[in-house]
Amino acid sequence: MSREPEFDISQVDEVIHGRIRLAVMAYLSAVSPASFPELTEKTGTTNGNLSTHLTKLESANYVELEKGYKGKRPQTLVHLTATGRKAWLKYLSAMRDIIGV
Amino acid sequence: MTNETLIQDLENATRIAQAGEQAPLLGGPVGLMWASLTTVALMIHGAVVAGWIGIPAPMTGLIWATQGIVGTVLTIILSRGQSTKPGCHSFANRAAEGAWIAGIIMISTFAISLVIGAATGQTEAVDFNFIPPAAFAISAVINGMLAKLTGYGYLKFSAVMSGVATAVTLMMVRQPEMYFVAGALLILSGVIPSFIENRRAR
Repeated sequence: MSREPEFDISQVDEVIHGRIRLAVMAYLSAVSPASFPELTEKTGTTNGNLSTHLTKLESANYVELEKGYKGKRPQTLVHLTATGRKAWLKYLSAMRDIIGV
Repeated sequence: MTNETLIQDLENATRIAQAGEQAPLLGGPVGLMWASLTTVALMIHGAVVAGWIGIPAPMTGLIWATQGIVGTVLTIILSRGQSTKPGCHSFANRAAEGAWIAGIIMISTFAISLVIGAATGQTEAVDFNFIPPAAFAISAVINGMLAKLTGYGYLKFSAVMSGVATAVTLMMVRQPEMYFVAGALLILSGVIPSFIENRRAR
């Protein structure tokens, strides 16, 4: 009898578990910090929608928003925090258990 | 969320993460500018020490001072807007920026130390000939590291050519023709790879 992959549903981080937040965390794992327009383009969502999802990630201390200026233009940079990176790796591990790879 | 939806979302996230990881290096314009400027400076320096240009050899310091000032101004101009380009904070771009800043500081320290040494009678004019080999060696290390990080073939080529240039210029360090050879090797090790990097980033 093959061993079924074991997983504990509570291991799935519901802060990350959503299409847009998942995409944001995936991009930030490779490019951090990323600018707001960059994330909008890469995730294929709207500014308002991205803001909502970033707020949730920021509340969990997974990302940190740095608001400043580039010349005279406002610029927001989104940093993946150390807590966020750990949570991301843990999430990936939980997903592997669920899918069974 | 069904299993199929989950797999699709994970595949999408993987694609996005890979796009970030594979973001092109953005140092092409600045690299091409410095490689081109330095090639011209090397050729002029070679022409001066060969006696083709009628200015005293000690005045070659002015060539390099001009190269440094012009290069710095152009770097500031060319760097504008780079920090807003997608992928500019990818791991490879951050590594490249840090490595080149450190490399330029070391080459500048090398050169300034020789100038101070010459002014105080500690070093001789021929010691300045060690600057090109030192610069090529630093470039070989940086490009080798970036080639390992990114897997880009043009960086491997640049690292190898910089290594060859280090060896060749060291062997010719006491010959005035070394500057012409250094200029030609910099076209291969610096100008062409930077041109390729520039095109990849577009």
